[in-house]
Amino acid sequence: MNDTVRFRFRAARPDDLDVLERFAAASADGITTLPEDRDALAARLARAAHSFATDDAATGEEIYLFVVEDLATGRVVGTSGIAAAAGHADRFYSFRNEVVGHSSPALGATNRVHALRLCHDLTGVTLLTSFYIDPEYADSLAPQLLSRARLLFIAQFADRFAERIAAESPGLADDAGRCPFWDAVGRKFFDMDYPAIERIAIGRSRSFIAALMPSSPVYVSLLPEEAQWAIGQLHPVGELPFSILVDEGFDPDSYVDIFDGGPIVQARATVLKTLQRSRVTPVEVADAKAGRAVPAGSGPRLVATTRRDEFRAVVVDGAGVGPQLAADAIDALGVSAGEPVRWAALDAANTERRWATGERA
Amino acid sequence: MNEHDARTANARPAGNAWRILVDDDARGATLHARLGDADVGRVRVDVDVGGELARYWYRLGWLVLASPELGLHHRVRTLMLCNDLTGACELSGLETDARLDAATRQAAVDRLVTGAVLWLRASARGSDEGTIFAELGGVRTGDGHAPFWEALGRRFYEGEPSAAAARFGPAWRSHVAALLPRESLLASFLDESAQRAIGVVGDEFSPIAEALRAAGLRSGTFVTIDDAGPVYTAPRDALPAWRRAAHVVARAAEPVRQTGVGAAARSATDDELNDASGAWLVAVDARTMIEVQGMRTGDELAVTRAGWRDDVVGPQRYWAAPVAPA
Repeated sequence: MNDTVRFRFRAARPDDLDVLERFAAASADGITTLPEDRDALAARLARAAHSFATDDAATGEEIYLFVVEDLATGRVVGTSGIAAAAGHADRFYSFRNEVVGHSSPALGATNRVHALRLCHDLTGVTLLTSFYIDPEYADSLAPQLLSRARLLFIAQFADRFAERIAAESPGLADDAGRCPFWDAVGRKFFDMDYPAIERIAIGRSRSFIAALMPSSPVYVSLLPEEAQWAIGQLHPVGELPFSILVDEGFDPDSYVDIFDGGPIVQARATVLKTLQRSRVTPVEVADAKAGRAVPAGSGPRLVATTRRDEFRAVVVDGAGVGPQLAADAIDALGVSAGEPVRWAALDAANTERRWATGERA
Repeated sequence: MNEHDARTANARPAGNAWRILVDDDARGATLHARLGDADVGRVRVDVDVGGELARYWYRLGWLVLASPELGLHHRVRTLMLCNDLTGACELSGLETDARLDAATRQAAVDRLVTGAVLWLRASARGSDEGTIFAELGGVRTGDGHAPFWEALGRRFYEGEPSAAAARFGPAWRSHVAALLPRESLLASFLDESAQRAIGVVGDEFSPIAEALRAAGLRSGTFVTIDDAGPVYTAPRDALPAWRRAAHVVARAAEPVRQTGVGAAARSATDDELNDASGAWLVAVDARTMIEVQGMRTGDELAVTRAGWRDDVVGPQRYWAAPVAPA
């Protein structure tokens, strides 16, 4: 079981441009924050490269892009990112779910008025972004690594990130770009369909669009049923990364996207499972026989380097309670004995099951 | 007014003369229009409304979403639950005898509205800077449902407005308002039929709307919270009936005309009455207004006691306001 390191998470490089372009094209409207524009992608990779390498103190404008590789084929099969501060130098808008209780004693009636309020609550929080996994790998450990290793990065470089972390997920939209939430809310303001506003939103900042929106709340009971139902509903393609975040301990109920009503999960970094559990120890090279001696059921673990500009992470099997790493993991991480690495148990129910059955996708 | 005035004002109208009889109380007054001896209509005037039970309306506004960069300029109606007319004077329950011809009903409405303003002026009830307003019924379907209520109120109160109205009277809207959103609503979130109904008067109320317009009230700022019927408003001192109201002075004189109480009048104070050749309502005492035709500058108003035609009162000031000739 020592040759279990199949996927490697690493900082994206400028030469990942081709594959990112392919990912951007493959994702439907609203599903990723990757721009479908080669120059814009190249610029983003350059910004990320600078963020990984710079010695300057963090300003909040940093973005970090990662990829996950299938080491068996050498192919990049997914990408994810972090924006250090949402709405940096501007504002980050979202709808906050609010419920106000009203009552009329004379009528003996009470109601709970549910409203969506445009807010800037999430301005400045750290955003998990750009998640995309090749569908072929959806059932593998790659998406787990792709999503959660970002939290190890944040844990390791906590002073470069906010105390609160959020992530947007795509809301409901059909293949034609029709979006029930947009039709019931945004269209009332802008008289434009969803793909049109998405194009504008990508070309310009989203906050530019949001700043035009009225500050009065959207009263949910006035919306058509289809739109009410769409509030906080995920596009099916977002289920996998969303479920990983909810498993981490993100709150999925407080905020929704102002465009498509998709859920925006958020949490204080300190409550997230991977951050809470992670700790740093020096690498020990595991003896192959000792590795087999690890008690059954100790489960997979995430392990990551502690270097910002050569950040890497892998999932290792059954590494038990010790800091030992097998040779393949050491190779994949590019670390040497004695170098500090950051660990965290990976115990999402579905990953345990796959691991137990030897499922590898 | 004193006892003497009350007696002297007991005028006898001619058979086709208009009178307004006033029943006042702590909250305001009810005015009855009389044509000859027939009771042909009434209106309620309340001063300082909302002083006990809070009253609610939707204030209409506009929200503009504009971006020159995007070539975007989109205007959306807004509705804001408010108590803005608290403390104002309200005309309500304005109705006329349906058996009368349209012209007579119109004349009755005109006299009731003018009479109400004149009553406020003569009685000095209500605050001086007060607004006067009247709510009118809005658009309803054949079965009595209001599209506006179905699209808005119904989403926050599931009960039947008619049942609530039967139980609480007009106060039902105050009770329902407690359940409604407190912040600005965009009308574009309501369905088309509800949006079209905002501020539109129901067909049966359009003659009253006409009379209110003629009296100087205007709609467009407020609507009712149930069927979005228009609320006609005006600062009361901007109404012609208020501005043109003036004192007339009764002089010792024999009746010179058989219209009205058979009176002539003289402008008491100023130019307000100089061109007043039309019909005037004169508040001859706290409970009675009489209509006098054709007062002109220099005319004198003589108010005679019933049966004492030769016992003419003398110089006394009365409030009067012009009305359209019937």
